[in-house]
Amino acid sequence: MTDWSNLSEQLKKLGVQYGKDKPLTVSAKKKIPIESLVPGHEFDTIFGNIFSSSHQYSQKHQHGSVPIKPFSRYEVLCEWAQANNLAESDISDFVFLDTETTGLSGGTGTIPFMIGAGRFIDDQFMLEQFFLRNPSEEKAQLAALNKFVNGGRAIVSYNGKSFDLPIINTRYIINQINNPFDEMFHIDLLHITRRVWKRRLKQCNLGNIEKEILGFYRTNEDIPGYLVPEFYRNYVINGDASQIANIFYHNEIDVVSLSALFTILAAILEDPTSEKLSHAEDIYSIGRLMESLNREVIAEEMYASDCFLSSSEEDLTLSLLSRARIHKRNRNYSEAIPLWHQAFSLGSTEAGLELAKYYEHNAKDYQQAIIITTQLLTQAKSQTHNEVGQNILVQLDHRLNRLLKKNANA
Amino acid sequence: MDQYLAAHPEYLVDQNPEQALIDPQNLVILLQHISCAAFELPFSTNEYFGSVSPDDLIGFLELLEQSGTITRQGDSFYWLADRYPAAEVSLRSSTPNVVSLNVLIGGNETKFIGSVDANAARWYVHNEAIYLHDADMYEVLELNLEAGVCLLKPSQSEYYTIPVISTHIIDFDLTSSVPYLNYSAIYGSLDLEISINTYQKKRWMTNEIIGVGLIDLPPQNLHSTGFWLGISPVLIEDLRSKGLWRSDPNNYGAGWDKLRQKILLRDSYTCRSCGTTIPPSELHVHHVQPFKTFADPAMANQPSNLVTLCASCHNKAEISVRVRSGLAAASYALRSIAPLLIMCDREDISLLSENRSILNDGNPAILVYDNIPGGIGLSRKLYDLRNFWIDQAIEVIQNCSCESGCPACVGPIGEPGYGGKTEGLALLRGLRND
Repeated sequence: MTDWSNLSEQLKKLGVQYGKDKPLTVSAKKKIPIESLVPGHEFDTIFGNIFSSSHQYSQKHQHGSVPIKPFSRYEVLCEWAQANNLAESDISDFVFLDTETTGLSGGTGTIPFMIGAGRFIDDQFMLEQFFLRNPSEEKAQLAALNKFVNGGRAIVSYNGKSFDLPIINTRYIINQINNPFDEMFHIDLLHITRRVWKRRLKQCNLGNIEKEILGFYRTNEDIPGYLVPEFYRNYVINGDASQIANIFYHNEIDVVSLSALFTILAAILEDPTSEKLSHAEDIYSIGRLMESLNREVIAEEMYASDCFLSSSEEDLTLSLLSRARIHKRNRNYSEAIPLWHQAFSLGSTEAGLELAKYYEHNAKDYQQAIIITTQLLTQAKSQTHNEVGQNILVQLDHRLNRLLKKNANA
Repeated sequence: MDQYLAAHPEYLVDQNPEQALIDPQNLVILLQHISCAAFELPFSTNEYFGSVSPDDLIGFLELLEQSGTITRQGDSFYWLADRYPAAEVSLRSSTPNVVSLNVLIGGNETKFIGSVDANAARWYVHNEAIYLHDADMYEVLELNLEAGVCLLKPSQSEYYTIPVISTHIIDFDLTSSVPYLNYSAIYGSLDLEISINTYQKKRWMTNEIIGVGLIDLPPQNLHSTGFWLGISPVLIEDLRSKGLWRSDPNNYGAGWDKLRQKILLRDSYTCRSCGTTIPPSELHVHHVQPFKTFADPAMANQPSNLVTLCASCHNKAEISVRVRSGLAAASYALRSIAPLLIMCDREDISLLSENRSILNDGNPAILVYDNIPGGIGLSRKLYDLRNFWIDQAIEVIQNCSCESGCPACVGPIGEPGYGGKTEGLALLRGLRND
């Protein structure tokens, strides 16, 4: 029979360093319960009580410079999220959701010790934060969440598709509780946010979007997200909840920001021309987005914005090419040609190639095509240092020879 | 090993394909398993884990709780640490500690190329070792075991390195034993001190030793499990009387000291191999034809068979004409086929044969032990298969077509005629003579 007394001694003999998670000195500090720091109430469920901190916001509340309640319709946003059925839904059908977890790497054992959820109920935005004072309260937490989201039709999250929801789904399975999210749509704002602002902002984490887009700045109560698991661990072991109060603030702002971000995205997508957009990068990105949603008229309008006149040549060229592309797709060459010429004069090879093709195949104006191709060749020769450049040169040579032959035969 | 396979195709064709062993009760493996399980679902105080009883399990859980990995709430233990324990379990070794390998690529810049198990690092990547990675050769500049890093540089070396490992048995404890007529089979736990003080440089292809180097590493303690064959004095007496036991230490005879001085004087106190002159006390007198191969000591001690050598040249000479005693020969054969019987890597086990072993009251013993801290059941399996193992070794030796020893049976021999094939075979047969 194996002897398992004095385990730590035996393990030491085998050379194992098992104290990886820092042996904890239980601090002499007094235990400070969460109830004494954060206003909240006991949420009653069939699995017992769970502590929750509630917040009410007036639906007229402005988060930074953005109202938290959508003032426009959200048909296009729902269409983009492939949740068309939702377009006619009332705003109270949406649940804004964000979790704080015991680990950032995910995996079956990662627990969302705080689940923040917000909904528009009557004339208010109601926010509940279901918090595990210790991990044994999990069943009650999930049951309380079920009660709160009851009747909802969609979740709105930020990166919830890859992070929060998989973790929550696992918790429902393990605790054998019916998962309400199985039946709900999920609009993850991270992806659409990237589509709209990535060109300009590079960093699209919620914190940066808050500052740059919503104009909201957090107080020093906030803590960086990566500290959350460690703070919770300290709390469970030492019973001192002072750092947990900061997590409540962090989570609350995350949820409120979600609804404000939903408002602004819904408005932009519904009618981009109505919004006072002032950055050429954003306008170009929205044009691309509209194009991908088959809204070519609005897309063209975006690309034609006056903003590009004062933007960089690169952005102006992109907008010209995009407009021409839409016109070409609709065989509307009379509109496309001046745009290509303008882009070509800015040095765009793509525009030159489009013109050469047009003159050769559509207008059959070989001389004009030869002029353009010759210009392209001169331009390309000064730029060809790499393999791609070499390829273009070969193609242009080929095109010129063919044009010269056609011209001679004509 | 491959020659054994060629001679025994049934090993590949008829055998159960999965005999690979792992002992789930190995403390290190068990602790990792329990960690992974605790991560997925909370343990409760009355749970079993495999065959581990709730009473034993609680010890593990309390250990994890002390280190802040899990927390006890009522009768349940919940995971708490911000890490994913399954990602830390290595499939290549039983312990999670590793040494990372960094190659110097010009200036102070380094590139990470991989890692080795911390326990194995001392023999793979000791200072000046040649290490092979992705078919490229590297020379170790510095091994820092404490920091878990090793610095290497690319190399075009014409040799490879082999550490010379010496094992010292500090303590042992019997778990079970079976006495036979000529030997006793014993399984138990061991405390070993393993030191690597030197390494050999061997030329590629020819395997010729072209130099030795020193390794400055503190000895390592290995707590493991092992199986040893204690050979009975009766058998040795019998073999000795038939001239088949040559493992006794040499007794060069009465006049040896005088004779030794005479030879040193004759050779002008100079190493006849490399010409070094060093204090006479550090010079050796070497038997050109090994002493053990003579029936009559007087013949072995003929001045024509004696030569003065320095310590280093003597060592080389001994290695090249090593006389294979029956004990060494039998060990070699046993060692070669053991990995095939228990399906393990050659390096997972070690074999040690001693003429005067504390394991057998000062009598000869052959020891096989797991190279894995705590043991994972490899030597235990050999203990269970002991007689089959010995029979297989006998078969390998007697079916080998060589004359007196070769790498396929009892090991290579330095010069013709000095192999230990007959003696090794006699010893193994003697063990089985119940």
